[in-house]
Amino acid sequence: MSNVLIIGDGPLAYEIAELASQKGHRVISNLMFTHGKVPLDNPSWDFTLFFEELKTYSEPIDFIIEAFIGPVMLKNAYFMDLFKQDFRLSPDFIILTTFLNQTVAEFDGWLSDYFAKFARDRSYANAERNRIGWAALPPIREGGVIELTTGIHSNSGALEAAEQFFTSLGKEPVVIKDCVGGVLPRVVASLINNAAYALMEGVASAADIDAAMKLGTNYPFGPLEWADKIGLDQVLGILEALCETHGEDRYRPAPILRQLVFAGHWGERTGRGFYEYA
Amino acid sequence: MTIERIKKIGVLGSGTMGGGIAQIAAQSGYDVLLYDINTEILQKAFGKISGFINRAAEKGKITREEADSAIERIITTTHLPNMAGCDFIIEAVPEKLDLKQSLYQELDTITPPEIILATNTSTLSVTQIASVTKHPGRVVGMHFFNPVPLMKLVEVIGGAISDEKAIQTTVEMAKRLGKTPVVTKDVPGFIVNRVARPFYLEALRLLEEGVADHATIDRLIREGGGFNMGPFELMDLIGLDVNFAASVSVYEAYFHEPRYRPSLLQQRMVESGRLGRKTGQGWYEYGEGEK
Repeated sequence: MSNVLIIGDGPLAYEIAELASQKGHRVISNLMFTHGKVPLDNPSWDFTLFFEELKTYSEPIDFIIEAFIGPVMLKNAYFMDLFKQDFRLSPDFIILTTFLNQTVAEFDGWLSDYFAKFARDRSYANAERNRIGWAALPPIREGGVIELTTGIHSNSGALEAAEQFFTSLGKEPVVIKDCVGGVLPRVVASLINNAAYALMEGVASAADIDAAMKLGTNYPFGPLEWADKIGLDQVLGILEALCETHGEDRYRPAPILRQLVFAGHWGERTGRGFYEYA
Repeated sequence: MTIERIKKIGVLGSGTMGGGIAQIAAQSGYDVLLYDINTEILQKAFGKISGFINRAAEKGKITREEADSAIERIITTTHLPNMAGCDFIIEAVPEKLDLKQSLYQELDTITPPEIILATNTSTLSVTQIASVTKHPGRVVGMHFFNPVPLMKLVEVIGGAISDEKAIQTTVEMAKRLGKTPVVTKDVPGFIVNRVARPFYLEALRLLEEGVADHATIDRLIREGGGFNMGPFELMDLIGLDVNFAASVSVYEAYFHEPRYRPSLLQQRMVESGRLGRKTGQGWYEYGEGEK
């Protein structure tokens, strides 16, 4: 059993927190934008309140698991605030960061820079060796695989610890090269984007596009209903990161996706995305 | 013509798709007139279709009587003017624009203008096929998937000048043939072959970038996402040449939209002759029994 701090901004963060909790880990979580879907120990999405609580948390944190997939600046700003707080960390704590919208290398560089400039008073000297990337997509299936990646500086002990942790969740870890979006999320986000373009261009209705993909190709979900499960804000985050990293038009997000996200239609968890939910 | 009055369906082309369409039409209770260019091809096709129907009866999926009457309902012809007696026509001849266009020009004069002419094209523009007829409003797309008796989906395509009524009747016809119709505009690849492109193209990019090997990518997509098959396994099944040609065709048709840019790596594989299961080697190797 480990002490796990889980932070994030969507269904992926919520689902991993729920899974870690079910599998017997002690979970403290700060889940934002989950819209009521937070029945865990710490239901506060207000991070200032959460930080107060974190200060009084008696156990040293072993794993910080992050799943911020919306705007990348939110993730980085959050870490900046988090490490200003006075809370207990294990000496060899590990940060598991999602590489859905930022490579581990970029996250490393950013955080190391920040530590060097502003957090001298804390002993994070080797913290950059303890960062591992992880990726998955909601809905997280029972068993199955999870994508892991190491940064340029990550040490093998950190990778082993991360592998053990995900194995304890019933997942088989598979290590791939550090990249934005991983394998499954990049493929699925691209399918969703392509379906969103088809919808926007009036090729067919959302229901017909999803029905066609399920019946014509045997996909587990239609791309648009899948987007509603993952969160449209999260899909947009992945696509924007792919677009920026590769600098290719291929990944430019469909305008309809951006419009729905700004309208607050993020999918199942807000009651409306490509579809409406009661 | 209203859906209730349709009793006899004309099917043009007796290949895999045309044969499958004739089979489900007969099994759905319609009289079928199956056309092809010579009797030898037609006899072979008829033998195949009756074989499939008989097997369904042997397996107990349909009764002996149902099988016999379905087979009896199929009549073959090499004489195109006989199509005059059909109430609904589905065309499934090879995907060549000039071939289809000359056929539609003939059908246009043979059949009354209220008869719907549905083309089972997967890559051509329905609008372009319709454009050569005097009554283009009755020409619609009706894209079946292979194997026709098993795959539930039918894409009903309204060309730029198709009548709304003709589209609705074709939707109704698809339902009566036991299918689930979806309505789509006349765009390259329609829904499935367009929306599915990144499933292959992103997987190929991941391989090109060295993110993981092809077997790992397949596994992450299958076991992580719940897909039945990974993209590389699926390419092997479809045939790398066929899959590559589909990507090139969609890419060209969308005037080089970057989302559909084909993969150089896949082109090299096609050039090498490793086309997938059918050649015993594609992304994976296949033994004799697996082809």
